[in-house]
Amino acid sequence: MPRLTPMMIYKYLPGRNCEACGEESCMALALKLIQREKTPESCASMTDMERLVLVDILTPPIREITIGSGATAIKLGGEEVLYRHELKYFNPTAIAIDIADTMDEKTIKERIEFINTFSIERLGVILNLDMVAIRCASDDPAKFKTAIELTMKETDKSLMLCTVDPKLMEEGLKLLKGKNPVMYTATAKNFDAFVSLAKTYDATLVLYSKSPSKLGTMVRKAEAAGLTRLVLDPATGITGKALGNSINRMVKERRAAIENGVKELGYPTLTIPSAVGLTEEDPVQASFMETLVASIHLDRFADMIVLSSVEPWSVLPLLTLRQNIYTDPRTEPTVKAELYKIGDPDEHSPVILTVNFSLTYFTVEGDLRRSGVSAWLIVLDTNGFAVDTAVAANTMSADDVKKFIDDFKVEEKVKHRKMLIPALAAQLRGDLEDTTGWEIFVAGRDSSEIAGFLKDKWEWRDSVWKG
Amino acid sequence: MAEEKKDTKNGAVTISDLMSKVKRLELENVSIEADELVLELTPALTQVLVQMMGGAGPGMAGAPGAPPKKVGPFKFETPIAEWKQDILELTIGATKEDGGTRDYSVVIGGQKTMPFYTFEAKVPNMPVFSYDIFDMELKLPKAVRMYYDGVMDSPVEWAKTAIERYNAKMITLHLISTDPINGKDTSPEDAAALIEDMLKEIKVPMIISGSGNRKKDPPVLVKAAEAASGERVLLSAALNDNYQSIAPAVIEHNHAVLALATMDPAAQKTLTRGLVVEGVPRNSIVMDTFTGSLGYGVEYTITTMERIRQMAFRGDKDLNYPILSGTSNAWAAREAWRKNDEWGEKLYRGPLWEATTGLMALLSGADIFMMLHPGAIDALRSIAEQLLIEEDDSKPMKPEQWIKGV
Repeated sequence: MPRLTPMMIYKYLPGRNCEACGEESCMALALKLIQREKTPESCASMTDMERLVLVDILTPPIREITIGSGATAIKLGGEEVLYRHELKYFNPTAIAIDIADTMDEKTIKERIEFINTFSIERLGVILNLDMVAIRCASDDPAKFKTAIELTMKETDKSLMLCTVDPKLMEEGLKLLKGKNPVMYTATAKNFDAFVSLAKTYDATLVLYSKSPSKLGTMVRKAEAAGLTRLVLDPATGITGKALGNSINRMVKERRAAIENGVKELGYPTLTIPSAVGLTEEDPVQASFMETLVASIHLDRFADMIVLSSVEPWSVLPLLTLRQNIYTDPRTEPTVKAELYKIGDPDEHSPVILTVNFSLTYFTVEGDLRRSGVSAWLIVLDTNGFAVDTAVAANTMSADDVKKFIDDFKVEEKVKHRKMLIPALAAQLRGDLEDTTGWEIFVAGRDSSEIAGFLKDKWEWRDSVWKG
Repeated sequence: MAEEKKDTKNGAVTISDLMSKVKRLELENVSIEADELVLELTPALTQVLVQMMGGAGPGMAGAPGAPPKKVGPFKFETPIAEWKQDILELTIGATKEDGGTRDYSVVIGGQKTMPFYTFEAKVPNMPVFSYDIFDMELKLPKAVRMYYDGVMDSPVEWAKTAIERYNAKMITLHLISTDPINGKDTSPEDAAALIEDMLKEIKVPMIISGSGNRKKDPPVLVKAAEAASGERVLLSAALNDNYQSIAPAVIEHNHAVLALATMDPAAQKTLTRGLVVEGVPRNSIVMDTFTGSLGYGVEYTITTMERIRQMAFRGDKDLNYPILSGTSNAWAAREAWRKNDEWGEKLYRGPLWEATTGLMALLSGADIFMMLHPGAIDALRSIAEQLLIEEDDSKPMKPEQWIKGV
């Protein structure tokens, strides 16, 4: 359930409906504040104290903290709800890849190169990896320092330093003054020393415990010492059956923080899917299972995860999943349903059918553009469903296509009566031919195959490839 | 109330604490009554407020000259949700005892809380994975084909391979050849003959699925229901515009039926209610909320399943049915099958795409899965087993083990 209602917030606003904030009323501003589309600074008619109270009330149950510094700083947490349909998730899970100071220089460089350069574009957004986690596996301060210095030379990404030894941690922190690295991790044993280091070097501290009570107590002590940038690891390094326990801890702690307002657990969560590699020897199997474990963590509220696989096939699904889960469920993923011109289509150019789900549209449009095709693109209103979903939901019928042809006067735009449809809608072919009187072709199972189809089969090729 | 709160929170400062000092804080346009305040303040704000009120009373944090705030231990209480009803249980497959010829039956559903929240309730039935078999050869990705080399022209041999070599406990027979356009427009009688043959040759519980053609499926599924009479198969699928022509055969032959409504809880309710009105028993209905692939709508699947599941737990009688995920839809995503060096090896990428899609359905409420790739199924089954923890009986890895890689 949403934690705050506009009425609850309205009580703290001036109530004069002065419109100076750009909203029609204080109630409208209250709604925008809850949806985090505006901040309390929008209202100029409040005293500082009133605003402070409002800021405090609006502080999300999972506090938002910043890690790293400068252009590559990352916001973690800031979450309001357990399930995305209750509002939305705000700050996408930060993804780190680990290196160890026992790796040779070449390996470290290759891994950092992957972190720097691996990216995919989806829905017009470039998806990247965020961080480097440096493990002090050597117990040797010189080696740890060398690995950190090498990393700093190779990348601007935010860093996480991993050791439970305060002396080694301090060696690392000295190199990263002002950079706000993540310290992994404070435990029951090193707690006081790590809190003191986090304060001295103004770094972000991870607290580790498998006991939620102990974790909460550590939070209280760290807060009392003045720390505000905390991250929680509810013991997520896994071996076999421990996976279920660690996921349950994540659920229990997040639910307590969000639904019961337990402030001690209201900090971002960090998990270590990379630990899968310790018990899985086969590298392919390790990468495969690491992605699945990381996917569970992503779904079960992790704000930051550490991976070790640098296989594109195992990282691609995770970056995709993160984008999916963090998509705002309140906005429709659609483009306008209308007749689009690709290139410079004329009366002999092909007519191609697709749907108004934005990812489908961008995929088809991108494929056609890249292959230099001129065509008319029918973008049908399927309620934002992809082709297979639309066929299953019956939001893509022959009657809908017929109506589109009439509404957008497609038969005045082209002289032929030939339409290409996606293979996932192939079962509509008979209905389409009967209803529209057009000849229907199934171009291939993927829009990347359309150009090849046109090259082989389209009789007016000059109207497809111009000049 | 303020007192109680102070006790249970072990000394954390609440707005009420501050209010008891000043009784009533008059702001320019808002007056805050002490007893309506239950919101706790962050330590930073507490400091500021205390200073603004010109210091605080004895013992209060931030009061000049007061000893440093003592931090008491935090005691965690597991938050338990109270739900009004469970998901119904449903059996697929009839053994000799029940008038069928299956070697065993499977039970799905019965869930009492969100998936694998084992701190809250036991998981009554583990997820069931049903292996896809098609009644005509079709263009499957190489990553899948390599598992069924030489048997894909015979549905019976294909099914036997899945059972004997890949440990399938359930088989889905997709009657895609019945489709008038993409298939061969084979008749419902042809389909019935194949089903009878299959039921003789293999002894696991079955899902029998039409081609997805909304006009052709009803006559095909009616014949299929007759051919599999007494075997308690799951017939797939009834839609809002054809369920009335399928329901009588489901009832007459005591099968289960899949109710497919695409990512729409309202349409799902209409459909299940319609089936019940037709006379289909409530323990014979499975819902398919539609599974969109990773990258192509899986987030709508997650959200639809989570909403429907929670509506059911809160008492909605039209939605407390088990859920099926058509996970094989993941292979519609180009990332699952297309060669692309920047995306890495497709023989691993494909099954991982399917497994990740299925995993999201598993975590959102799905009870039974139609899947294609044997490796993806094994991985998902293994994950489900690891998530099934009854007691906190195992030790997590210590941070230094991971840090040092030992």
